[in-house]
Amino acid sequence: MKAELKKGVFELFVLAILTKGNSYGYKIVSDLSAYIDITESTLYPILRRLEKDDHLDTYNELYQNRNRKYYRITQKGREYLDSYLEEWEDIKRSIRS
Amino acid sequence: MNTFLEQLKEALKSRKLYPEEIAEVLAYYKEMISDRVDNGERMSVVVASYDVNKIANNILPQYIQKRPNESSKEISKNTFNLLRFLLTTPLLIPLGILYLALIVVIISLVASCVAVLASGVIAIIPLVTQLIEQQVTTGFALGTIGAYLVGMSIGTIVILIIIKTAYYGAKWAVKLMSKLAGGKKE
Repeated sequence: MKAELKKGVFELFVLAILTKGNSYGYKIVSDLSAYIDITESTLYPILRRLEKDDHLDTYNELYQNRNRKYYRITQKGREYLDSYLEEWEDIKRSIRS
Repeated sequence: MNTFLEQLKEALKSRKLYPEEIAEVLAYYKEMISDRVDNGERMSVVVASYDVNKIANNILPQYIQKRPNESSKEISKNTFNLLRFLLTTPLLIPLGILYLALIVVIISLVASCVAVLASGVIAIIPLVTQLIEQQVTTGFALGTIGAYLVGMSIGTIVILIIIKTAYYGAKWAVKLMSKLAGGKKE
């Protein structure tokens, strides 16, 4: 898969996972591993990019006496994901027709 | 875990990441390691699964791209840092050479502008000397010097525009190259 496409697909996967509920780094990697080959090191820049673009925001929660960073999809993130999914449906339709 | 985090910190420091950026990366990996260990993985296995240099190399272009680059000092610092990274990463050497060529063009442009400006200022001395030697009238001398200064002012404005363009060019080049480097590393 080309780097740019791969990067875009990973972002969509992360956003899609977060539509099911807020999550933290390790859980995101674990959940995504069922669908794509992703590591913590690959996920980090994706999370940062999505945060920078306001597609997600973060908050800390105390877990076993340590801080755990949670990621939450924003409205902008949902709109971004929806627009991509709509576009993807259009592509599929035009390929089939 | 502490040894790994210390090694990661050193790797990030050697790539000139800012302290707050280093703290952010360390916090992420600390949390990730703790979560993996809490989920039953052995600490030695978890730590061995990470390569500090790979992590630092993946992260550097992204942080450089994100930096605001609001002063010429910051731009030159990031340019040098990015250039060093590109030229020492085998896969990115062609991009590094391209970037180096672009930087050389920008520096040459600025240097030639400064040289033209300096020579314009210095050239007023022989002009005045010549006018005195030729014993021209005061009116003609003042008119000539005035015309020269007007020409110099217009030239200075043009040169300042070129230098400003070079500044924005260098700023844009840092963003573009770090983006390209980040894309290629993933």
